[in-house]
Amino acid sequence: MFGLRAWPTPIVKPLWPFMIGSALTFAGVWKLQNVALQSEEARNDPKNPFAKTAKSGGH
Amino acid sequence: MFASSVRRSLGGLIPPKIATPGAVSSGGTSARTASVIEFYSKLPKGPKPESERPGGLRGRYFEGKNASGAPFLATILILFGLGYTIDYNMHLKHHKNGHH
Amino acid sequence: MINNNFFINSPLEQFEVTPFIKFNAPILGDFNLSLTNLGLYALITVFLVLGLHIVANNSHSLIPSKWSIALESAYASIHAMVRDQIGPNNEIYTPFIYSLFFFVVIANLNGNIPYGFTVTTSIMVAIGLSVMIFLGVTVLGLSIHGVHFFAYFIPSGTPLGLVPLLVLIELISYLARAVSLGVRLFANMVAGHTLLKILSTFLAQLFTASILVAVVTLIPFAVFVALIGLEIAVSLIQAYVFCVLTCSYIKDAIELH
Repeated sequence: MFGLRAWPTPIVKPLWPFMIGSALTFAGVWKLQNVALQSEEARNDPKNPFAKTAKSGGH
Repeated sequence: MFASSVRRSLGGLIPPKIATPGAVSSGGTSARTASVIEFYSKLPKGPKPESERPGGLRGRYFEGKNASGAPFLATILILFGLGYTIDYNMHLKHHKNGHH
Repeated sequence: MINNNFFINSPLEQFEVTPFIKFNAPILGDFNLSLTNLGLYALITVFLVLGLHIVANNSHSLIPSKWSIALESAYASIHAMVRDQIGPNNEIYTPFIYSLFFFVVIANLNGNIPYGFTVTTSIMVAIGLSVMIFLGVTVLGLSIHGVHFFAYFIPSGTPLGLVPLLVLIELISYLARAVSLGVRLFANMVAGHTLLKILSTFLAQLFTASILVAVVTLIPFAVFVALIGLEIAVSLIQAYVFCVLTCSYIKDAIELH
């Protein structure tokens, strides 16, 4: 592809701990985000895409 | 005199090191050096034929003698333009109706 | 409607993540997909890294182009770094460190272009990367050493009475790595970009004041240009430091001191 040679470098062998790490990080961020979206100051923020209140005009 | 002694002591560090079979191997041409020489002697000599050179933008700005910093500047200019466009539009939106 | 940020002049405004396209998808509950400036610049960074490596490839020539030589030097430097830090037996991590370095360095340099957005000034990206590396390194250490990995927290030759205290200290310092790696990158980038934004706003006002003031302002402007150079240096150094520390964490996980 793109004139590059295939190079038999192992991908999964050195990277699998970091794949687990990124999956855990992603799950953690996902949970944190959901909690933060429900928090008191973010719930009615116009930037919150799930805000129940009508968005202010101008945007 | 001084220069040559400095040159000898720093000979290992100063770049023009010419690799002859004698300098590389310890005495005589070993089988390994011979195979290396044989490998390189079989490679095609001279510049690449015109038909095999990459054309297009890559041939024009990146290959051989044409390599230059122009793509670098172009990337910076494009990203500057993109950033300015985004910034301008975001602010225009904010100020359009007189309120946020 | 009175709004206090009608004239947006805050130097921190450049770090704000704003969506360009919002897209609410009714999959997986309430799922919101949006292309933000952070996402756009992360994609641009990936595009630049891949594009650089495709276009500056050696293309099977015996004599590489100058671009190719530049990439070879970058590879040689990172290879040497991995050899020095993790050890010659663990060169298998070179591709990981190499791609990490190129992502961070291109993201940092990309941020130095005016009106741009720096991906690494987002605390989510910086801390997310470092937490990912920290968890990966811990998993790696646990998989190699098993339960013996916890010996890492007890320095050899500790008197038994001091063990609980030392374990606590070592554990805290180990956990702090997860944050410190990202905060180092994030704080350096944010500080530099904020400084440049404040100074450039101030200089712009001086330049547009009057001709005499504008001529005099050329002197602080020279300092400002020097600071831009410093900022570019910081971009490179922080990417390098990030990779060196990642290497040393991997080494700690493999060798346990």
